Amino acid sequence: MRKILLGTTAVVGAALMGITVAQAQTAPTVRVGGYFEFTGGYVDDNFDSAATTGLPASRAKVDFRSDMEISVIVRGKAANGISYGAEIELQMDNVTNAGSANSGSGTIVDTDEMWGFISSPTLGTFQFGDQDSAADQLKVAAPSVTNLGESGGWDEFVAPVADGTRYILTTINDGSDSTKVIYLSPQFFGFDFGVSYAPNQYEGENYLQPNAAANNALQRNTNAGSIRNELSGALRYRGSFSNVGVAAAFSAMRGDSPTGSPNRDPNAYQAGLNLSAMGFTIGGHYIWGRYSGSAPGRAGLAPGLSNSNNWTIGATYRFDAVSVGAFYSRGKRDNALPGVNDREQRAIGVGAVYTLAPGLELFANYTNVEDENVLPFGAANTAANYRDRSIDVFILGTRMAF
Amino acid sequence: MRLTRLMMVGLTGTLLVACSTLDGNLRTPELDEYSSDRRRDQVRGRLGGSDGILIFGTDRTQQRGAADQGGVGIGVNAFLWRAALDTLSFMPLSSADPFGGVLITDWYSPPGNPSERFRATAYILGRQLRSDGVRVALFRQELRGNAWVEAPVSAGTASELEDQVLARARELRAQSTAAAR
Repeated sequence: MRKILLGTTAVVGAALMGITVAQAQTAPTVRVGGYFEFTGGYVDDNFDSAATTGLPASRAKVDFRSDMEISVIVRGKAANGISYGAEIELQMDNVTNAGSANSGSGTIVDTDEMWGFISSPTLGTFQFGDQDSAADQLKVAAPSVTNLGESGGWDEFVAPVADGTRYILTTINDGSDSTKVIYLSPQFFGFDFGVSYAPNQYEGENYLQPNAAANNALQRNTNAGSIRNELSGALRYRGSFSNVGVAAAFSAMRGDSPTGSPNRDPNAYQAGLNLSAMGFTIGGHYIWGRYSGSAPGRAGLAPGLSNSNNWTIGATYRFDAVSVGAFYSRGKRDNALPGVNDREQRAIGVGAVYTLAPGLELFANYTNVEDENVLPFGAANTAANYRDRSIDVFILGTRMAF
Repeated sequence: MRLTRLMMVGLTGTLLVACSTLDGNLRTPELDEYSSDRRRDQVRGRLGGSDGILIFGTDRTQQRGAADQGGVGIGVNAFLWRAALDTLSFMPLSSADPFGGVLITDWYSPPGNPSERFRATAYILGRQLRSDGVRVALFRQELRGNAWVEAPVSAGTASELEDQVLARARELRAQSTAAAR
C-alpha cells in the first residue's frame, strides 16, 4: 500500500511540476479606438451676446457641435505575469486663438492623455506620462448618464464669463494631463489607494514653457506655471452589503504656487459616495479647499479670498437599453471685488440615454443653471456690472465609440 | 518577558490568519475600474464588439468568446481540453481527439521506479467550463518477473488529477480574460 501511495504521489507531483512551467505570456496587441459625437443644442442665456454697452444681451439660439477622439491602445503581458501597455489619445482640441501665431480653426488635433503602465497582479500598477492624477482616478462622484452633469454637455454651448469660466460645479481636478508618475495599489478587502506626483503643470515632450524664446523659460523654473510639485492621493472602498453596492472615496491634492506669485498654495479635497441596487445608483460628492475658478486646486488662491466649495447629488436608473438620470449641484466662489457678494452657481438637470447598439448612444437632456453675481466677459470690473445669469440648455445628440 | 512572548505568538497567529485570508482578497484592479471622465468610456459597449480595431497582435477577445462556447475547431470546452493536455503532458501522449474530447496517454514509469507504470485517459464531457466537465481514469501496472500485471491505484488519485485539470482550466480562463481587457 505504501508503495502504491508513493507511486501515485509521484504521478500527481509530476502533474504539478508540469503545470508550473506553463507560460502566461501574452503577445502585445495594438488597437485603434475612439469616439465621434454630434450634438445639437437649444440655448436660452441672458449672457449670450455682448451688447455695445459692454453688458450681455439675452438670446435664444440653436447651435450644433461635433467632437472626436482617436485612441491607440497597446496591451501585453510578460511571462512573469506583469502586464504592460500604453495609451495615446488624439483629441480634437478647440484651439482658436484668433490673431495669434497659434490661430486655428477649432479642429486642431493634439494629444489628450498619453501614458504607459506596468502592472503586477500583487504589487499594483505604476503609470507614467500625461495621465489623470491618482486623486481623480480613484475619486467617487455623483452618478450621471452620457453628457448629463454639473459640467456635462450644457457648458459646451455657453460663453464664459469674465474670469474665463462657464461652470464652477465640478469634481476634483484631474491633473490637467501634466506629465506625472502615479502608483495605484492593489485592492485589500475592498480598499485601495493611489498617489501621484507632477513636478510642474506642463505636458508633452517639450522642456520649455509654451512660446518660450530662450532657455531661461524652462518648465522646471520655480516661477513657471500656476502650480508646482503637485501631490495627489486618494483612498477608496468598494464593496457590497445585502446586494447594495457601495463605493466611497476620499481624494486630496496640494501644490505649490510658483515663486514670485502672491497666491497661496492651492489644495483641494473631495469626498464621494455611491450606492447602487436593482439598476438604481444614487450618490454625491462634496469638494472644498483653497482654490478658485472652475478647476479645484489647479492654481493658488489670491490673498484675501475665502476658500471655495461645491457639491452635487445625483441618481441614475438603468433598464435594458435605456438609462435615465438627474442631478442637483451648488457651488460658491469668493468674488474679489469689495461690495460684491460671493458667486453662487446652481444647476439642475434631467436626461436620458438610449443605447441603439453596443457603442452607439442617443442622448437628450435639459439643464437649468442659475449663476449669481458674475461679471460678463468684456465688462469693466465694477460692482454695478456684476449680474445674475440664467441659462437653459436642451441638448440632443449621438455618440458612437469603437 | 512572558507577555512579550505571548504577544509575539498572537502577532504571528494574526499574520498567518491574515495571509491565509489575504489570498482571496488581494488583487490589482483592472484599468477600467478607475474613474474616467473620458467621453469614450461613458458609452456602453463598442461598435464592432471589441475595444478598438486590432492593428497588431492576436485577438484574444474573440478566442475567449469562442472558448466559452466550446471553441470553433474543437468539439469540447477549449479551456478544459488545453488544461488536460497541460496536466498530462508529463506522460507520453498516445492519442488525442479534440472533437470527441478523449485524451489517452502511453505507459509512463516514474523516475526511480521502473517496476511500475501508469497510463491515463481523460474525457472532456462537454462544451461548458464546469467542474464535472472532466473525468480522468488512471491505470497502474507492476513488473512481476518479466510481465506487467494490473495493480490497484490509490483511491483519490484520479480525482486529484481532475482537480489539477480544473485548476489549470481556471487559470487559463483567468489569463484569457485578463489578456482580453
